[in-house]
Amino acid sequence: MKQKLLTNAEIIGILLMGFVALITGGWSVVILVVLLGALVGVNVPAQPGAWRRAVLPGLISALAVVLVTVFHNTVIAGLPKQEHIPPASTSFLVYLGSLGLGTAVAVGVAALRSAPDPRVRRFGLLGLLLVCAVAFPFFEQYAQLFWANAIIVAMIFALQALGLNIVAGYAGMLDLGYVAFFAIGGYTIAMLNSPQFNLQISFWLVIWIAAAAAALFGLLLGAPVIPLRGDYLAIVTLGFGEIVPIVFRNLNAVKIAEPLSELAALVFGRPELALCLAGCVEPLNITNGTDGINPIGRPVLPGVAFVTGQYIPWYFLILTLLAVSVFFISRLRRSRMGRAWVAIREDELAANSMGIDLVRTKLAAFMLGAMFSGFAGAFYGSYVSFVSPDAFDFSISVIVLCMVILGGTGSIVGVLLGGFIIKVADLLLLDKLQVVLGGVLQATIFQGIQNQGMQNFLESLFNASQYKLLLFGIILVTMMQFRPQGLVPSTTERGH
Amino acid sequence: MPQFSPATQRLLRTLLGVAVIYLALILGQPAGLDLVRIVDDIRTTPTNIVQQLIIGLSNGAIIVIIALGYTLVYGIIELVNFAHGEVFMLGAFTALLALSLFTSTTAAGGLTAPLWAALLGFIPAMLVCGLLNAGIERLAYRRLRNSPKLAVLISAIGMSFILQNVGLQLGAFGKLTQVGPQFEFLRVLGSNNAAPKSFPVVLSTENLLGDFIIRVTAADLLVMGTALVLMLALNWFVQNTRLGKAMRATAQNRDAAAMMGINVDQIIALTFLIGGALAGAAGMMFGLYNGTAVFTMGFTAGLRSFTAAVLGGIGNIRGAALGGVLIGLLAAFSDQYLAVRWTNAWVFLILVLVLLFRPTGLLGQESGDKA
Repeated sequence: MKQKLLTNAEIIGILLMGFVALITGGWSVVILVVLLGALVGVNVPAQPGAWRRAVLPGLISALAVVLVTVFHNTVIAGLPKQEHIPPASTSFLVYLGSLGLGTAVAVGVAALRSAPDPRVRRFGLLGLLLVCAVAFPFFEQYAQLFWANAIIVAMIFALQALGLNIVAGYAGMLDLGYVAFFAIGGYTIAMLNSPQFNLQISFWLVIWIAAAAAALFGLLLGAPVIPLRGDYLAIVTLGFGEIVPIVFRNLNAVKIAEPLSELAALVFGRPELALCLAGCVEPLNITNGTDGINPIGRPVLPGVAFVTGQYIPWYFLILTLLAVSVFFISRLRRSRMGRAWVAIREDELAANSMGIDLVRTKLAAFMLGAMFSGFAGAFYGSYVSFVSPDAFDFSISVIVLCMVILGGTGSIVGVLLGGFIIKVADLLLLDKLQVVLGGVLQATIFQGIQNQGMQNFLESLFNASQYKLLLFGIILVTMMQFRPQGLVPSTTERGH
Repeated sequence: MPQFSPATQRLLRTLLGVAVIYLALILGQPAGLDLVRIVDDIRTTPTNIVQQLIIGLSNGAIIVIIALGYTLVYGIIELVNFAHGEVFMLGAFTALLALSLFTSTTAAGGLTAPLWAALLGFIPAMLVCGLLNAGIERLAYRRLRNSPKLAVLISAIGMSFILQNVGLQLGAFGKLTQVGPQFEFLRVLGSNNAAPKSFPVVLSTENLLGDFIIRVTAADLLVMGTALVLMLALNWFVQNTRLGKAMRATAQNRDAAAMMGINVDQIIALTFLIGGALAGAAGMMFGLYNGTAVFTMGFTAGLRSFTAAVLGGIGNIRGAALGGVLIGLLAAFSDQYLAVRWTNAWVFLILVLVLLFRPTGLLGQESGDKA
């Protein structure tokens, strides 16, 4: 059989990375060729001598990205209103180096994957991943890409997606109110480490309290809904997801009286009989209402400054959290509990008759899923240093669900990938696309349109950053129609 | 659990009920459940009760019409059509655009439109939304007819996001007014995409009861009347026509209906068409009653209406009518006696409680598998 030059996955990868290169340009080429090289390397069948088969596709894909970058740097960067491209990134050496780097990564990954020794395979790939992950923030800072914030937020959401994956992916319960636990995590740190109550409990302790609080609420909210199935469960959780932010929004003037004594006071017409339980002198302000709580305390670590604008410490902190979570969850998945979740998802009745305690197992999934969201919420609160009820609306639940579904329900790698793709597209690419589209419009159509009103209209219609919802919607609908198992399906489901 | 005599069990259950009520009275206070204030309000201005009854019935009428769409679709393919609220939102926008063609500026600078334009505007709103809903079914749900329920639900959520974005971008067309006078009618869309759009004033806001303390406006009557007409028409259609019979048969047993020669796909599309048309009508009613539309309103309205449909017994047309009225009244009384900003939370709480304790709703039959 004749070998195809490029597989479908590689073509999709080239198109995707090429698109990113088209709208970003500059130093981003280095990161893009590494990502694409890794994809090519993973895509080559793992057999002895695989590295030779990775050379050509690796070279072609790197070349494609480099060419697109050259196009951006020369043509698009010349359009009106474009972002500045660092001159150092447009040298021939950078292009040549990217070409070599992309090919080298493809060959290296392919060689590591097909290494005869399983330890080399495992630790080699992990090591490569680690080198890239550690090198990224320093390179990003040097290249002034301004990607760090998006990547950190993407990791926060990936952490949530990992948690939702336990509930929706492993145990098969669709939770549409997942944002509730994120909010609980965020507000826990906001109340325990901020001027709101003049508490300064250390971040390292609060993050555990936040996770515990989220898990506790997961238990409280989960217990009544466990008997429900399918879409009814989804709607009830959605209801909880709506109620929790409303509660945080409105608990800013709390006064509680003892009802019986109050009733007595009313009946006998003697107000002094009413007993007051809380907020007697002046109403308690627990959550500061719509204004939210700020500033929230930062982590304290000797020698490291966690401040706004300094992304590297935050990056490594969330990276560590994410890595530990991935390790923990992958062990959990293979444990007795993890297998019980999947058994319930596949056939509840059969699982029950095999002796699996449905209620306990489902509750454990709910609690653990909530816990990771609580972690993410606490980190988010500290990172942004501000929480407000508006930050926790339904769209967050849907975005996280999108990540799980896009990546592959039940698959850790898939969920991480989905999380990164969606959040990076949301925070980074749509804005860049808007800049490029604006420039293209200015340079082409607007030349022929003299009417300022028409120009305003077109600019507002083609405002890419307003198409977030459309992007999520299209992802959900098309994935369900054509690839419900996600980009990287979990191994247990591949057989079907 | 140890066995108690029936009398002890009753006593224990009563004690538990009292404890729950007591706890609710304590925990509910921050959310507006303040007995003293409520009793005080009722004692000083008892007319508030009647006033909120009227407001609740009017809002309930709109909720009923949206809830019918949920219940029809759920009855026939057991899908929570999550995009239905957004269809309603787009219905309000279509109604607004239809009205904009007949809008004129008053002496005071406000926008106004004649009543016949509003009544005529029901037609495009219902037509557009009916076709839109049927199109959604064709595009996003039909292929998934035999997939797990959750796949369809997720597809519906995706669809609702797409429609919400369409509603957001419709606002951009307001900028066309700067282009020239031929686009002048688009001024109703304002200059900001996301901002709420104001409907032109169609009905006078004067009190039909003169100086009486209770207000009844023409909008109240129009909304309630329209809802009544639509409900009767739907009931007649489902009960008395051949297509209605086919719909009922398909809802009861799709396979059996197909064997009897009913084109199931067509009937399902028809159901979506009717549901969408009702949502469009509700959009116009909402616009006439509240005078405003915003692209995010479909979500809340959809959830309230879905709650109404579940409360009444989802899949049951009369149940949707009952549930809609009850939710409308609950929201109105919560606005008055509990707290406006907690009303959504109370409605969701009702939804959760209904689903937990009586998933078949007030008028629904017992059916083991639906919950």
